[in-house]
Amino acid sequence: MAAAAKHSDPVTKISQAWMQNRSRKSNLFLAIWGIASVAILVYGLTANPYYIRIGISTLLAMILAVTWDMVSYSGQLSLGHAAFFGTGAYVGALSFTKLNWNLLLSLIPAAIIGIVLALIIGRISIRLQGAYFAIATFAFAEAMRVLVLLASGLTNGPLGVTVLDAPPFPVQASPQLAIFVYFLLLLEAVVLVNVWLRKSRWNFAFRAIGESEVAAATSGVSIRNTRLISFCISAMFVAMAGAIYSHYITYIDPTSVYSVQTSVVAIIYAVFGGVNTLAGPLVGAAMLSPIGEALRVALGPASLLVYGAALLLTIIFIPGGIMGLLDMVTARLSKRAGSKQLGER
Amino acid sequence: MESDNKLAGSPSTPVLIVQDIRQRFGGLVALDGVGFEVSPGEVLGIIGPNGAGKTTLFRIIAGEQVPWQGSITLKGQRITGLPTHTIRRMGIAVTHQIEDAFKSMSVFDNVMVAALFGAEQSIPFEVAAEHVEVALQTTGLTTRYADRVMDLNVVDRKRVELARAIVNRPAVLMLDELFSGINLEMVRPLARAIMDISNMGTAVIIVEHLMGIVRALCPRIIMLSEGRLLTQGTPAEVFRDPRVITSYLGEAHA
Repeated sequence: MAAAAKHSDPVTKISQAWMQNRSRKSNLFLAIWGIASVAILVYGLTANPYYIRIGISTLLAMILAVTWDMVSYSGQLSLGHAAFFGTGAYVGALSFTKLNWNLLLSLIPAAIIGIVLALIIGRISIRLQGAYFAIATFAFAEAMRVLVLLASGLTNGPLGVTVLDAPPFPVQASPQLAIFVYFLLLLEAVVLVNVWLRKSRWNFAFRAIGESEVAAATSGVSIRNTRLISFCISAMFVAMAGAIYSHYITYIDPTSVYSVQTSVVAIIYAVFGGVNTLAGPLVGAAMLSPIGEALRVALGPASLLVYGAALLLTIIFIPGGIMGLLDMVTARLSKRAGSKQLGER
Repeated sequence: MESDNKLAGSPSTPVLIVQDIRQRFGGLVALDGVGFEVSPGEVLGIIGPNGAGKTTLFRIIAGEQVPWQGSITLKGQRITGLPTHTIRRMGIAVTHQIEDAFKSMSVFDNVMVAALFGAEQSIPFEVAAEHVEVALQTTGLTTRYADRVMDLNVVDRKRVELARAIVNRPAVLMLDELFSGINLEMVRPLARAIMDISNMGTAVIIVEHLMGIVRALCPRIIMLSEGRLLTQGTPAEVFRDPRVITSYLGEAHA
């Protein structure tokens, strides 16, 4: 790079401005998320068991939405969340029934198996694009369900597995509160890793691939490796969520944990909140999941229709989701403010 | 007139050696044994009528296609058949005929992608940002660094593509019809940027339809026709060759 010296004397005006600007958005997000985390914890500590259950399903929804968005960020539409969630649930359940491991111990094999599964399916299908990748991941989730159903020697087949084990917790607390705290801790890890990914060099690889694979490759970005990274990280967290879920729900069978619904609701939350943003999937899940919970009591399985309608309305009227709407509003406000003080530019 | 290309121009060892490249698509032979060498800092023009195999050759060198036969050696290392991103990291950067960018990203971020991933060693953000700024200066984009590429005109998009290609100071820079669709007053600044880059030691390969530009920029020209290397030499030599005139203008004018 020595040859650059000739040009580099007046350098650093633009590059410094860029460096200073770089983490502004994620810092703002982290500040707000910090406050939100405290609020969630206070909610968990004060709520009654029914509201703790609502809180747990909302935390799980947030985890699923953010991890789905990680994959979507690198330009891949995944319908494979159920594969990782179900497998994580079985690893969590079986490591208790077969090995007598508690919840925290079972998170380790769940994470590892999640990554290994993602590597296997990734190697096969990561080159597929758009709908083809979605179909491949969907088929993979179905194949896993059938596999678990058939391997009845290990998994009990259609009879399912019962996990009656109070999760370990340092202080006296109800099992539900413990589960709430563990889901919250997992969500914290998911969010922090997501922020890190978007501040790191991988952020540029993800965005570049999402916009043009040819231009990304000619810029030196390995499309396969970049996608495998987001796919594996996402799968690891989803499998861990599945393991916690198995200890929460206490009984799992292949149909319930390998449900297509797991994959689909993650997409709905993320799209409703705003894809490819830090806050969007969190906001979408936090808004829709409690509503869905209430609707399920009132409407039963028909509650999914409401989700479908929400998704359609979002795509038609606010394609950027809630966060996109927010951006539009702030842009319009700052434009109005900007026209009064022209000194800025 | 039959000059040996190893001796033509610079005495230094070639940075890129292309040997006996053959490519066929079904029954069609696109390239039928093409070979050439380029030295550091040299500017080489590749010309030929439509269907001569220029784009196929370009894609093979960039790693976007695997040749049926033949070998490509960069800085003494065989790179034939390696994936595109690896070849870029090893030092061959390209711009495409139809400019292709990360359209909703800013100009600065577009070049940043290549600054971070286009080199063999990973570098910290501060250093990468400085490289980006140098590339933006060379290509005349400093005033537009914060704009999104989708808001730029064609010339500026081509500059973005050029900036993305040169930001890591590649050993070889290949330009596929960079000048097509650009009005004449914009040709000069782009051409000057290319001369600057070659003066810093990068070998430049220009695939171009516009003969005026090839004549002005390239001390050496290779002419492809029907997948073969028809002739090569200085612009004066090549454009005097009756076979070149025939293949461009048809038999009647020869």
